[in-house]
Amino acid sequence: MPDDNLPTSDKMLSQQNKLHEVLNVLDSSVGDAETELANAQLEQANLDKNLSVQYEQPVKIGEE
Amino acid sequence: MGSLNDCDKEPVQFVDSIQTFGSMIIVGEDGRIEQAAFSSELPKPASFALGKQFSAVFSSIDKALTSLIKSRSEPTVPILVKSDAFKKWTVCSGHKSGSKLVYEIEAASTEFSEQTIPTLKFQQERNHTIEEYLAYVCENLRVITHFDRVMVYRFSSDWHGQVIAESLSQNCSHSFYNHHFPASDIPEPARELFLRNWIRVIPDVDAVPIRLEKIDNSVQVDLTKSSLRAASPIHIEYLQMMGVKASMTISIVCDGKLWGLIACHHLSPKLLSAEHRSILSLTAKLISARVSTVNVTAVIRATHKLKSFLDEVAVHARDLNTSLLEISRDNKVALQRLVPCESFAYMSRGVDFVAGGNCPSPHSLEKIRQFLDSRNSDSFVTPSIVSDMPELRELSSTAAGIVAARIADAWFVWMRPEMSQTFTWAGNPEFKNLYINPSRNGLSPRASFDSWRSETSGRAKEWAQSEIDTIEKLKEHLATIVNHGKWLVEQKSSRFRRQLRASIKEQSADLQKELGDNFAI
Repeated sequence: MPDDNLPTSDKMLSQQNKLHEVLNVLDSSVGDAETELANAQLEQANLDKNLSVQYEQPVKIGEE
Repeated sequence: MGSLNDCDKEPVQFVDSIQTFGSMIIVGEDGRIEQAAFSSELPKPASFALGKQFSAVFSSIDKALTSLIKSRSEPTVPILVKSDAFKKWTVCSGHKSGSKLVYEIEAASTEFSEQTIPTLKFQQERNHTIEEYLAYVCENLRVITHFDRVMVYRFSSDWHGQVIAESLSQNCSHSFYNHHFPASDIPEPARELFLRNWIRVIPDVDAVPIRLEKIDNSVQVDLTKSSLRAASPIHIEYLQMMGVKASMTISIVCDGKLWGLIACHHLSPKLLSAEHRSILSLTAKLISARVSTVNVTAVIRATHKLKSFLDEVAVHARDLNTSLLEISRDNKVALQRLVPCESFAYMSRGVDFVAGGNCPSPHSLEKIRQFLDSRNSDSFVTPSIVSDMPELRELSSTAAGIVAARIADAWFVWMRPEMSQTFTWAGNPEFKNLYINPSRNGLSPRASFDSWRSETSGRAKEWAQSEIDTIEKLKEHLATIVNHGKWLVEQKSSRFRRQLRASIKEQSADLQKELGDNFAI
């Protein structure tokens, strides 16, 4: 195929940039979703921790 | 001819051919082309390139890609390169596999424009159930990708799968919604590949794979991360039997485990551009994170419920020398409500037991207790106790499924009755395994995916992981609370005894003094 029929470099560069833009936006959505997940996991871990600490350290009577 | 277990061992990542939608070039450490398979886009046979320096034959791709991939095992995002060798714009990506560099080159799509870029936010509401969220995902993915069928397949603990969401185009008349597929349909090596790749496409199941030409035929390169890797012939035949001409599979990975797959089928060949595939790879990550969040949210809800229960028990335990029996008796309704079930029982050796809900008879509960005692474990979970203990079949109407935890010397048991469950299978479940096909001189999958129904008995609804976790946490904390309560009560009583002793001593001293005085008089 002769070179003349190929899309111009500018067009392809713009296409490449567009893909990168989309990937960046999506990457940031993934980041947000992973942060949300990490927060939920943290909430869960704190709940689990609360279940433990509340009862594992008995307080001596007279010093409570 | 292979054996029926071959699929579980098939080294699907080590193949000697690629699919036809691109070209693959594998380069050794010295920069020489060691293996190659060219699509029809290249005018010369792959053997022409073998042994030559990659930088000499594919100079523009080398400049754009080689330095990027020398240290990465994950494929790069697609990079547009005007290739002299291809005499056109190509979209290239590459990665390192062992000591080899793997280049994958496809013709660039000129259709990739702003209009074709999907908006893939896939937001989920906090109160979405998994099924609701994934139904929304299916619908949107189908609209965006134009596949004829998009369905979500969730793995169960035995790796069989169930379609829990589906969206169909008008071209598709057969729905697989709620159908079950046996575990053997996606054998272990295939699951491993799905776990390691977010997306996998087979654009044309009828296309004859292109063989990799090699300098040294004994060298096999791990193509786990390659998108061009040829599919297993058994899988291709499986899709053909389904009437599928093109497929795309997106992995859903939660907590590092393969949770499910989004299977997209098309009734004619269909290739999604490398750019779209890279977008969908990220989308798979997004969907996986959201599914994980929905799962964790369910666990959080269950833990809140457990915490309220434990807090209440702790208050009683602080004030009274409460035993596990008393806790169970006083809180049997709350205990039963910790997980969805029909009945709850507390059983300890001897005659102590507490039962709530639609429980088996005391005699039957005793049989369950003996069975639990006979196992060398503090926990037990089953959706079908009959499969572990056939003589307990009579209990199916009340206790087909049980989850049990031993706390101190007692068993806490939650029970579910059998569900007369109807499973709809994709294909006759009696013929789910591969069979030896003489015409292929090898193994073939089943030939029909028509819907088949099978009834099950003696089986309750599966216990969800969040429910099992709740009981495990209860086991962990309840004994501690009771022991702590006992400790507090003992402390109180020992203080009381100390005070009493001191008081008696004082009174006795007074008495002695008084008596002494009287004697003196």
